[in-house]
Amino acid sequence: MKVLVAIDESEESFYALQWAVDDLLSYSPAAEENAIAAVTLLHVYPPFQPFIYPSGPGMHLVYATPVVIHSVNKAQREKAASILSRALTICTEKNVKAETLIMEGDAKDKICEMADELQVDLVVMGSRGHGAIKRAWLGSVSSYCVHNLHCNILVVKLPLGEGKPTGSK
Amino acid sequence: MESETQVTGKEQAAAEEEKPMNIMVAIDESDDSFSSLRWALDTIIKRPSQILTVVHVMEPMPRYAFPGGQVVESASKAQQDNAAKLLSRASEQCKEKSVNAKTLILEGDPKDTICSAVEEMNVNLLIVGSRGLGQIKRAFLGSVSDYCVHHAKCAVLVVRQPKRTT
Repeated sequence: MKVLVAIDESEESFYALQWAVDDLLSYSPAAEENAIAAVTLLHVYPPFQPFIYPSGPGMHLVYATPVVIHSVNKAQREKAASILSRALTICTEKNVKAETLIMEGDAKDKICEMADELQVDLVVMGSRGHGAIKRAWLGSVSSYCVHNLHCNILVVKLPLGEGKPTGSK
Repeated sequence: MESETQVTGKEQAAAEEEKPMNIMVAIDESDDSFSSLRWALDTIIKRPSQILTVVHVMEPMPRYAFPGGQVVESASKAQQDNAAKLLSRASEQCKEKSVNAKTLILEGDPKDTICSAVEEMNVNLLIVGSRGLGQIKRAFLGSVSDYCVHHAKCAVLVVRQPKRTT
């Protein structure tokens, strides 16, 4: 079974990964085909807009210098790498084979694109990521993916009233 | 939870301590939901610690729509028979995979009823099909599944028809 787990820096997405690894993926009966899950951890970061809109009348776009662009890109990539390495640790702790993938762009589009391209059987994601509006039950990326993915999707929510996932349920 | 499972997938002895996991699969008359049950049985239900409940929600017939009381009575009875048949079909599927599943018939508005049942029964994972009875081909996600993904207080897995044979 091929699984794609969408990761961002939010607690929800790490909880979703931990939940999936604990409850779905770390158990494989012997000699069963499709029993062992191959996991791809995908992190999508938004593209850096290399221009700044100054306020005030009559001002035009100011483009960031190449130095700034370069350093922001570097910071983004480092951040992505650290997120994914944390995610990878969660998988390897439970002996789940996982690969990592970093992409730049709009998260919801990229997730759907990669799910199709990799022909995954299941996409796993948290319910809310960046836009953690407390009243919204389901974030925009999860909502979009639930409606547009062609494969099965698992949305994992943080239990109410719990800040951090504990070891026991 | 200590696990010594090897990457090759050798079966771990039953001594491994597992916390019970309540899984609920929602069924209606559509083939879609039975496919989702089948998929769940094939890929998700693997451990003895998983407790599976198959639930069917009957929507009560509107009593005001029929002129005579007797029509309503028999319609309701037909619904219950239908529900029982659906769940026995689901039960059979589970037995084929050696899974011991509980069945449950509830009455009410499917989306609210399923979400309340999730809370009351402490369900950890809800599995729904993507489209049930409202076979609008362009809609990728039926209204009940959509509601459940948004409002159920547990993890929700939406099963779609596979586009390719696996």
